[in-house]
Amino acid sequence: MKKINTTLPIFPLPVFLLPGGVTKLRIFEPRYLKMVSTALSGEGFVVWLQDKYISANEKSTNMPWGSWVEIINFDQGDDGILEIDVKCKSLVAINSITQDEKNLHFGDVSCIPHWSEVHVDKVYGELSTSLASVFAENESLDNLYPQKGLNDSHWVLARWIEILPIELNEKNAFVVSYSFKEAKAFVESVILE
Amino acid sequence: MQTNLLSRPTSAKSTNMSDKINHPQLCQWLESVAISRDKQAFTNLFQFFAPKILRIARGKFPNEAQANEVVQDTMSNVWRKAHLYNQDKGAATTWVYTVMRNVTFDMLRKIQGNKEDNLSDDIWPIAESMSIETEIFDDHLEHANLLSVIEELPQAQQDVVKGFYFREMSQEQLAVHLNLPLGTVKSRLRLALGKLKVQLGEQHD
Repeated sequence: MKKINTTLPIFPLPVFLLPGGVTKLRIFEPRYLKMVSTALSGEGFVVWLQDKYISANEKSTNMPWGSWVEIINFDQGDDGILEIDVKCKSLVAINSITQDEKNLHFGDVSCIPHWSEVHVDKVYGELSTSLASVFAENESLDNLYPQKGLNDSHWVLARWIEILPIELNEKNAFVVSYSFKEAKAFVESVILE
Repeated sequence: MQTNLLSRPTSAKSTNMSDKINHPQLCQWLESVAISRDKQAFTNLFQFFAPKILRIARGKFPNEAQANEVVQDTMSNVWRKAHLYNQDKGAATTWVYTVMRNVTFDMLRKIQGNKEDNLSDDIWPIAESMSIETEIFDDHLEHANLLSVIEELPQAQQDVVKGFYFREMSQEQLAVHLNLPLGTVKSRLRLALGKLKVQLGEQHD
């Protein structure tokens, strides 16, 4: 484990992001607007996967982890709400959480390694072309990734796990329980067979 | 052991109207729609509220199309205005029904306006039939009305569709993408997850 310990704002959200993953968020709560303004000048923030399907049991037995993101773009939606694009740069273990007077959470975090942050120069023929056509069919997804890693088998696999329609607690297991090998076998058995 | 991996138990439950309402769940869905434009959460809200709104609207409007319009307008307002919901101020159901009430009032006002027009036509039927110019004018109006209705409906739908930010494929989208029946995709996902669970169990033994 890398020895980077730092304190970052934490945003609990039902959003699963692996390193390299990008998502759009709408920010309107004052405390999170404040968070975004500090995140822009600082080191980003942590998206903490929260969902009712992730049972209390799983929360207590598994380490709390989050996706450390940086803001790569921002815009205003049709309704005037701030929209930001965030990109995950690393997964982090959340070692402790504190709350400030504005009800914003801060976590003492340290980076944890995950296969999805390792770039490899290896192509999966079919998984990659199939993903490419998902991008081609979905403009809003395509727009999030001006530069795609379709020649990087880890990147391809990570994006598949993010977009496949399975419950968030199942996705959670791809960080806390399953290895790269299992993730690969899973996506292949859904997409290829 | 039977796990409900993919059956989305909450949405199934929510269509059962006699059941107790899961308020925290509704709040969470609204929040997901507001913050991350969560399509699945909106679908769940739609499945929960649409039948209820339709039932109430049918009591207020004689024709089915108008009742459906209430559902459509209410839900697209829910999609656009989810961020205005504040759970400290009341239940999600109260908020959605308030949105519905406003939509209903707007529509009743519109219908009321139309009725007055019809009434005036009835009062001067002779004048109307005597003037060809009036007929042309009426036809023009009718045409414009029709156009605006056509433009309005897809727009309302468009708002909903346009607003979705792609975060996750739906099972339906995946089925289309893989060119497979939905049932096959569902069972593939279930089997693949089951296999993972078994492997995990073996590792722990």
